[in-house]
Amino acid sequence: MVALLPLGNSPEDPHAWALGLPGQPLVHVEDTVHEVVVLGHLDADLWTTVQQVATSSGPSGAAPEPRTLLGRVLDALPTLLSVGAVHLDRAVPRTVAQ
Amino acid sequence: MTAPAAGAPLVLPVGQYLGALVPAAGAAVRGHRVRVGEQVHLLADGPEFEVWSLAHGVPRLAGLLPHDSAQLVRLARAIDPAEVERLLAGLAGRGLVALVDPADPAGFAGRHRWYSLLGGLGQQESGNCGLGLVGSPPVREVSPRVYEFWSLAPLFADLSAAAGFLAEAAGADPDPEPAETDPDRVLTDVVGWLHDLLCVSAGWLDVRLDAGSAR
Repeated sequence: MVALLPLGNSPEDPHAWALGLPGQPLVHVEDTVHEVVVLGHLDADLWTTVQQVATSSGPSGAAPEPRTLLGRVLDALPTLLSVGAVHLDRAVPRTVAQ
Repeated sequence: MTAPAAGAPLVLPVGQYLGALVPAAGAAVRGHRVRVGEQVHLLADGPEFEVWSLAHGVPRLAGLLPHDSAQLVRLARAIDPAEVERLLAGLAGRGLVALVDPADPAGFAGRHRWYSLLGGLGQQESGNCGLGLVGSPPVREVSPRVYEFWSLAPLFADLSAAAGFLAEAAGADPDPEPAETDPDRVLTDVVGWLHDLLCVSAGWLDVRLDAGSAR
């Protein structure tokens, strides 16, 4: 689940999406990894989010295969975790009270 | 928290900020994306986004003054007051701002939930609890009760359920404080704490996703 504020992209590199504190980017990730990071709290597990993002990245044809995207997410996780941009939790429904 | 003037609803921002959107290299910012539930809204860069941002409160005032529309007008000094009111109404109409009667927050609390950002840094020398980045000074220190809300509320479907849990947990203390065990009073407290957290982006309010609409 995302733990830092998504700050968006920039004219210098529109494919690099920043996460950080207000006005203070701390880490950048590419488009689809960013989508997984900012949407992860909506699903019960990471794989579900990866599949959702991989199948909803629009008609541009740029959507990666789910396993490819999962690989990119796993590659990015050490950096994201090291700056506190995300945290991982057990794959259980996040909502305990309906 | 100072009691708001009678009839003055609190202004609370709703939605997960997704940052500025630049459509192509060298292009200007097209707007700011904010996701509410499953819908992503684009807020115009300028007064509209400024008003939504100011609805989060400012750190030096959060918890000290009620964050109602009059306070927001004072903060948005560069924008004409009538324009602030017009933008607020528009944001409220799109579900990006909630105007909440602090004396009767039940309806709002049943329709909205909390997600947390930042890391928990534990109890500080002040006796309060720190929120921020591990290894850095706290971005903000909050009371232990606010900290408990911040750490647990994301587990619950809405703010009412979170407040109910906090009240029940307080009742399990050996020497419970009566005000902290009454769910209605805890909910009033929770609504009063939100700007304390929102003003430093320690989380966001979102709409409650019913089971049928959850992904």
